[in-house]
Amino acid sequence: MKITFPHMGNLYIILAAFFENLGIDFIVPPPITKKTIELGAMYSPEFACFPLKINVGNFIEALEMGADTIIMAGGIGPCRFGYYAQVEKEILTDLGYKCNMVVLEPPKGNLKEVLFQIYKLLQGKDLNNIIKAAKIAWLKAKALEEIEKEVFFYRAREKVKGMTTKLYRKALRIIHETKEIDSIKSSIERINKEFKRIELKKDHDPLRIGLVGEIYTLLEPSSNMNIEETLGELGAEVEKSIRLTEWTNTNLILDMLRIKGELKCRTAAKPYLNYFVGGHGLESVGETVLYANSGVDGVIHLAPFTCMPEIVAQSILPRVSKEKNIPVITMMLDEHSAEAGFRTRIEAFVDLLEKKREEKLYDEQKLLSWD
Amino acid sequence: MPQTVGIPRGLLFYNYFPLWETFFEELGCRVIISEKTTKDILNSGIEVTVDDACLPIKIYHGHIRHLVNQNVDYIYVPRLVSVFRKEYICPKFSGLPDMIKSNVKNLPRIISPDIDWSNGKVKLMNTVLSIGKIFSRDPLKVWLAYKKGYRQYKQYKSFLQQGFSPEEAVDIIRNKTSANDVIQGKQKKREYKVLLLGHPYNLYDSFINMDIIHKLKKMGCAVLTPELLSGEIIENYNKTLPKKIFWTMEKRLVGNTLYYLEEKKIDGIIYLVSFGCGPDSLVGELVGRWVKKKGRIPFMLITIDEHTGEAGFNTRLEAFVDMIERCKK
Repeated sequence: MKITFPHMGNLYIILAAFFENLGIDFIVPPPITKKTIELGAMYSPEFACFPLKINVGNFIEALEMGADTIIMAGGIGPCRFGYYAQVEKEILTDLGYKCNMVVLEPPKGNLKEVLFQIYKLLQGKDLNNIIKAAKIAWLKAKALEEIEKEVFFYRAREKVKGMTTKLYRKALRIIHETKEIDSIKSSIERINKEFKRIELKKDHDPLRIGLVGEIYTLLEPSSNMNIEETLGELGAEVEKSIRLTEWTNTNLILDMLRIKGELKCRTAAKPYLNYFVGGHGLESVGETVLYANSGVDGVIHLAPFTCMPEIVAQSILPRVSKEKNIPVITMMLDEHSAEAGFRTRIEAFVDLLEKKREEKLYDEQKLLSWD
Repeated sequence: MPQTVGIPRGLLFYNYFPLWETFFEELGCRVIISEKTTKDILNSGIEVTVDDACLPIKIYHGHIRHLVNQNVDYIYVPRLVSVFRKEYICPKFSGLPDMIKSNVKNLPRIISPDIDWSNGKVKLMNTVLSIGKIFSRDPLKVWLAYKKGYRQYKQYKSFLQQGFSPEEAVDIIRNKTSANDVIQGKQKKREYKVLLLGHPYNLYDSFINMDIIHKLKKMGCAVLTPELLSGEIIENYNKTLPKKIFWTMEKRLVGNTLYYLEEKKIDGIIYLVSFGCGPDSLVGELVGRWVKKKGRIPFMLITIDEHTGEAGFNTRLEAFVDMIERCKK
């Protein structure tokens, strides 16, 4: 058995750590390239959402490399994600691949089924071993998020463009290659020390831009045209609402206790959207309100083209933007998105935010002066 | 003066309107249903919705604006999250009232009960009573109004199952015509049987679908719609799937496909989808693949949106019927 799984941002580092420590044979799909996306788009339904297409591309490339078992998450609706695995399996079978698909459904679907699937996967493994593997995976997830926060800070303020990104890539490699639980901590310290060496611009108070939207598009740089890097290099500090560990917490642990979504976020969304609409639609609205309240300069809403929950959010966000006086822009992405146009829109948005800040400053100064 | 309640002629209107209409009428309201979809209604909907919304959602907004112009006291926009246990309609339906409130100006009061049976029917009675409270203080009267509406709805459903169109079904229920008259008008032998898959709001709004049912009939096809099959058959055929489909409407379409493919009672399948319809983008793909594998009958997926090109549409239908003829020979 050779396991593989879809890419989603840095998820591969975490899963690789888990399987490696369990002694399970696995293949990380090759990094997502143009070819991956082309393959996926060619064989997937035309109007399926972008993440599904990238998944299919990942799977084909991994199966070509010799993987035979795919691990995929499932869901119970109303968002399409819950039916991804079935469609993907059908596509791959029709293409002639013989592979086994292990679908991990969320606990609310059927707890017994999930446990059974996990049990089958872990058959014959020592319990201590499993706990250790889970622990190291979790610690790496935490570490990655810590590093990401640093990256957002330094990238917006760095003197020499690209330094932070270069270091970030190195940091990812270090975390990926760290084998022992004890050395994770020292790896982070080492990375942090290197971050501190990055030269910062003087007197630069960066714009703060919040990113909200669908989880895959937020977490996977190749699906969002590397928006974090683009924004950072334009001198803006990014704030991201969804993080992997938080998502695992709310979806796997809280879901088991039947608590849907984060309460704070739901309360914030209530005047505008008062119902769960699947995916992250409700969170997109709620997080935008929370960002507005916390003084963020603007919000960028990211979603795959035709994503149903995010279309609901997109319809509602203009009202939030107006009432909360915060600029919001929605970006729908798929394999047809063109980088130049995307970048232009982002640059225009950043310009707008800068202008708005200047005006605000000007107004304040006018109030303070005597004439 | 009785209060007026506006009901938009869109989305699940075609599934439930005898229930809604009777319910409000029994409570002493005057019910105003927006007129049939027109180009103007569509355009007025497009004006206020985001580009990425699907056609039926855009048209629904148009109907709402039409009702706003009629100065009704209330508009009924239920939040239809789920009408069966552990099933959903579509995320857009869950956010519909909020979308309307954000997009449409000068709204009258909106009646938007949450209809969510994803965890069972528990709250149905509360929902009914909470709507009724607006118009009557007597809970019994409200409940009886609902019961009467529900009886009409059941009757309506059974007429749809016998193959009557929604308009015909309503006329029969309201005693405007008798069922026999309608049947006699229908008795014409048709050569080919075509299964027309799609959501009720696409199949029964002849503006949206460019009158596809009528056109197919003129080309000599008997048109079977998903409403003809009973829930039981749908349920049984869905059991053969590796994973339950959690969208109520798509489950019906899949049940139909599997049933007719097995029974070999049809000559072709047309799947009508709105551009950007999420659930259909996946389920349509599966259905297409199954038909190819098992059926050996012509299958066509037609995507409709606001850019009407009727000539191209007709050509595709003609080509499809030609294909059926060829397969039959």
